[in-house]
Amino acid sequence: MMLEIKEVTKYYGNHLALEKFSTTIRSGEIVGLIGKNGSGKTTLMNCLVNHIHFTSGQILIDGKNLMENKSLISRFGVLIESSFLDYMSAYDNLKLLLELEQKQDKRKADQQLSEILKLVGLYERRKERVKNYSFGMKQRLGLAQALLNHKPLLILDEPLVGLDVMGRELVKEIIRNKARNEECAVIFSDHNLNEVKDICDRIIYLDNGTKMYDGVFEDHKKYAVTPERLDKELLAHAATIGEHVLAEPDILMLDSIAELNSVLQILVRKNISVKELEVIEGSLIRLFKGDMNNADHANDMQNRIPKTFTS
Amino acid sequence: MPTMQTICKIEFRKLLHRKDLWLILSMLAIPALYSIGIYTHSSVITFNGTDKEYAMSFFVNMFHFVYALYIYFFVLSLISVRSLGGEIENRNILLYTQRINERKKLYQAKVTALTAMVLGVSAVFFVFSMLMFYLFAVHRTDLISSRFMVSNEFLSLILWFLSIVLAYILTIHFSLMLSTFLKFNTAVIIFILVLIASAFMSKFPIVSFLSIHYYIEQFGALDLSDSGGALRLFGINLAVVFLYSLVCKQVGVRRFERRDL
Repeated sequence: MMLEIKEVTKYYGNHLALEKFSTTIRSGEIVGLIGKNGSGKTTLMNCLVNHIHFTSGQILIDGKNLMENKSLISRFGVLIESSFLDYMSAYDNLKLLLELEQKQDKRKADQQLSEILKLVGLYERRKERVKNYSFGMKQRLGLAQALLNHKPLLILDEPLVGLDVMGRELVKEIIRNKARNEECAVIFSDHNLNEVKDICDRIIYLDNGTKMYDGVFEDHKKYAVTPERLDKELLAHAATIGEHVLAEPDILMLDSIAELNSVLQILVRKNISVKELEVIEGSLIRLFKGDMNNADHANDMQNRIPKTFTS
Repeated sequence: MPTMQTICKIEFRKLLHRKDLWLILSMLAIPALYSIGIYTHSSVITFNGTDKEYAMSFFVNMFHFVYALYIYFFVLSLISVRSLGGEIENRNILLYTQRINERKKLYQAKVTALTAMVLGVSAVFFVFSMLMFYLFAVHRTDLISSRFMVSNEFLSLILWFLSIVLAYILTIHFSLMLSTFLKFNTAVIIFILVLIASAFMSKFPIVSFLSIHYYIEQFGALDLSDSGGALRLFGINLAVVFLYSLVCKQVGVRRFERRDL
């Protein structure tokens, strides 16, 4: 299955919630959506499942326009804001959804429901009314709803929120298995970059409705070392470890911790003290942290590196 | 894609799970209190009729009594608004819109389930009224006849009963429509205001034809043996309710389809 999102824009009145968002998601791929509150993550997901109507753009499933073939939406397993009939049990909630989706004989339905409830760890308390559930249990039930009937695309809005460590690991494992073993495409959002990078093949970063980053997670840090002075040995060593060392006359820009260690060894041996050491994080992390000063500084640094030295 | 039958079944089951359905069944207290009151010669119960009451007239009079209390219009409006507007507000609707991709179908299923509920409650009311009538009221032979019906009045009584049922069905349509674009409380308040306005309208010439209350009140003043007159009155009532319901449904579906959830 292939999901193509083409220049989807959504306005709420005059407020631009999502601006010309485009991406493609394929079977077996796990895509993480990150961004601050109000960045457009949930808006995008709601557009995908037709909960809200987007202002312009196109969404295609295997080349078919989703808005002209709305029945395709039922191929999505969706968790956007866990919602339940809290006066019913977890089992009855799931049974009701199963009935809506397809006719099944009672034994098969019961088997599927039991499997899913076991998978999300709610089997023992399946007969309890949902209103007695904790937030984390409701979150698991929401995931169970999305997993019903083995959908080829899972859309999960913050599925890890409210879960304890064990719960988070369990959900991540389920998502991984769905993608790897069932070739399920997964798009899921979270505020926590560390959680997302753990399981995603690709990360999309949204800020104020605009896509700022779409690619694999790269944790590429740079280390800017400013020694008290630079001598010939240091410069010669710097020349041997990379092509990108001298950012400014007195700053060594190093690409890895190993490079940093080798330079520090020379500095210690030569009794040269370090005036300043700065860790410059990769672009995604800089964006995510919204640390604009750092980002500006890093960009500034990159700009100051002579072209022949930049990677 | 689930069938209409499946969606209706699920909507109906959801209604049964809700407590507010049981609130509407409190209307059963009216025939119970009335028949027991007659039986025990209670001073609270007054009887003004010239002819003896029989089973069918007792049932329709009780049903009209319940209608005249107006409280059940309010309760039914609450149930209807909760069925759609409540689900939109608490986001439970999202569970279904993703699986029932045609919102129109979901809207129609809610109308059908609520209408089935009203018909079911009316049927229960009939059975319960009969039970109360033959258990208690029938013993007051000075006021009550044990006959089930008087043949030349039967059609008029049935049409009178149906015109009240139509008013309840219109309540469902109107409340559901309001709930597609108003908040829960606002929708119920608007419904009450319109209900009061409609009751007032029924007292004024010409505009009274636009009020569904007018037709129900006219049945009360009608000679029940005049089946032709009853049929004419019901025909117009049916046409008015059909027209109102159609408008409500069209607006409701359109608003529901176009709104962001």
